[in-house]
Amino acid sequence: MNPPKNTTEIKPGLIPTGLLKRLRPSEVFPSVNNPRRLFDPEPLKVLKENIRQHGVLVPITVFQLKGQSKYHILDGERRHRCCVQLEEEGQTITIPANVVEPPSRVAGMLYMFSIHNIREPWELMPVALSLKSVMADLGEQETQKLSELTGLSEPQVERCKILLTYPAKYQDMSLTPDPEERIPANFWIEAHAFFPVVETCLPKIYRALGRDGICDRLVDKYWAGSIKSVIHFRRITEAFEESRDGRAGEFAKALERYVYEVDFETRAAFDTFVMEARKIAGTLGACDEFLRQLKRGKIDHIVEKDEVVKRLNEVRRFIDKLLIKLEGGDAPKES
Amino acid sequence: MIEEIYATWWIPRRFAGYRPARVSATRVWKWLNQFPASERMLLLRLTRCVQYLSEKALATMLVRENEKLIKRLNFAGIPNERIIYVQYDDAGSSSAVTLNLLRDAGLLERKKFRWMDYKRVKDFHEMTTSLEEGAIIFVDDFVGSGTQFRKCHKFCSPFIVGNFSQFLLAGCICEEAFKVLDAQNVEPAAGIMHGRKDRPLSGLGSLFSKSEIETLKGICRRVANNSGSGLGFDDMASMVILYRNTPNNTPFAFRGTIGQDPFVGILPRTTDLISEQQAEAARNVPVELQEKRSS
Repeated sequence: MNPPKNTTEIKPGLIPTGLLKRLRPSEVFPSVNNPRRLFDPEPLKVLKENIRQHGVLVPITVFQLKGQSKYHILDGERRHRCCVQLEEEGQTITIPANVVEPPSRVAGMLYMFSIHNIREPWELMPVALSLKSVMADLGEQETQKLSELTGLSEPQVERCKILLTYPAKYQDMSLTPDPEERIPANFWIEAHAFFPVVETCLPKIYRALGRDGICDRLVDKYWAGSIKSVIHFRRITEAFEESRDGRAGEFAKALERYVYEVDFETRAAFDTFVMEARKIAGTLGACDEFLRQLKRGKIDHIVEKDEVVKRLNEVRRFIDKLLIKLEGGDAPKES
Repeated sequence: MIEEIYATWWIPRRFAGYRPARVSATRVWKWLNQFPASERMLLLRLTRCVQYLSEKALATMLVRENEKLIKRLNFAGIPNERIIYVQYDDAGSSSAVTLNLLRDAGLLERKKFRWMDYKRVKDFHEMTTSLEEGAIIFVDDFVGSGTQFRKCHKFCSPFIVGNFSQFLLAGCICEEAFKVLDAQNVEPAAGIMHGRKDRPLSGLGSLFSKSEIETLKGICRRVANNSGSGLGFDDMASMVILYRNTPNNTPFAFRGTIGQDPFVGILPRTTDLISEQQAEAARNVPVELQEKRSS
């Protein structure tokens, strides 16, 4: 039987060979990974039937923390999940398990980053704090290298780094247990581009208030409801770009008012400068035309395909980066 | 009748030290006389099934379970300096109070343990990062469905870095919470593991017949003013009551209606009492309840 697909990929060196034991499903903690990604019902059903007939043929990998009687899964969540279900159905089943040493602290953090890749993308603060530890431990600051080490995408690493630039008092505002009292982590990420705009357009005010003073005002506006969505910060940057063609003075006045007046809402302040609707229409048109041309070309079965494949991959990379940039936004309401 | 008179003697003694409202003979008498004679004996039998944890009993239990746990951890190679006790709710909550109770009763201050509030996540992150491995013990007096614990644990667990075995130490943990703890990779350590079979109104025990159970459930519904089943949160009908407060998954037959109108309870929760009653309870004066029933 082939090992099931979609098991967590384990980097070499993390799993030395260890003791082999046969464990009951109840002796193993269930996985803390996001169940929605790992436990798609159909493939799981197939695996479960296979295990029902043949048992678990490929050992799972587990470790045991000191003092605890149960084992933690390092690899083999799906096999374990199937065995739990089979046991609930009345079948007696044991799982072969390779018991290894618990991962080192850094390895544990890297594993946590891979879990982050599965979980919801707005739980950034704990990831940022752990990334800070990894950067200190490994002496690595470069985004690309950190991305390779941690499995986080480069934009995610960049977002974490942005969070770490804020003083502790602002980070703490995203660390309150009560979601009603918490400022979402992506508020700081989206606000990050605002400060250079103020520094450029209102240098005297920027010097007088300082970055923290301006940040305090943004926090006041957030709680006053004048920042209805964190994505609206992008509107300010866009308005700044659009206003360079002859409306810089007008923009600076709106910006000054925006900084000083708590109740002056973002869209009300900057919508007049933005031509978003035209850009959206243009982009949609370009996408439609691109698809139309490709479909018309009927290139599925061409022979000389190398250059075509190369160009299509370039297009795909561009689109992937653009989609990541377009991500972000407000955290959904917690239930 | 004799049983009822006798009840006004043994029930107050049984629940001595109950804080939200002192269990007095008067209160017991008023409680019983709200119900027809045919129901009173059933209620008294149900009352005998309650496991009450006084402050002393809870402290003793926690110290005992804690000592067992610490011994196990020390044997596994985790010294006291690497053990972190955590309160997982606000100051003044049951978790905070219980941790203080354990700390005092077990003389833990001098034993080099560490202490943490689950909300201080950055400190938590820093502490676990520097220790790298150890054990974390969350503390509470009573865990019912585990919902509250899961919410708090989900919040602070991403900040726990390194290899820390995690435990929940409590006076009582209900069976329903075990799955929740398992999903959070936390092991329970409790004085009382309160299974469904220990709860007469769950229907799984054998102390009451089916019809008696239905009668008792009917009483609970009536007392709860027909808003829900009257069996408490998640219909758990838990039978463990602590000196500090009755858990919210306890049947309304003991708690009385919210606001104690139209039914008073012998063991109301703090939130079941109206503010004047809460103030009186805080002064430890027996609560004399006015007749509020409309004619």
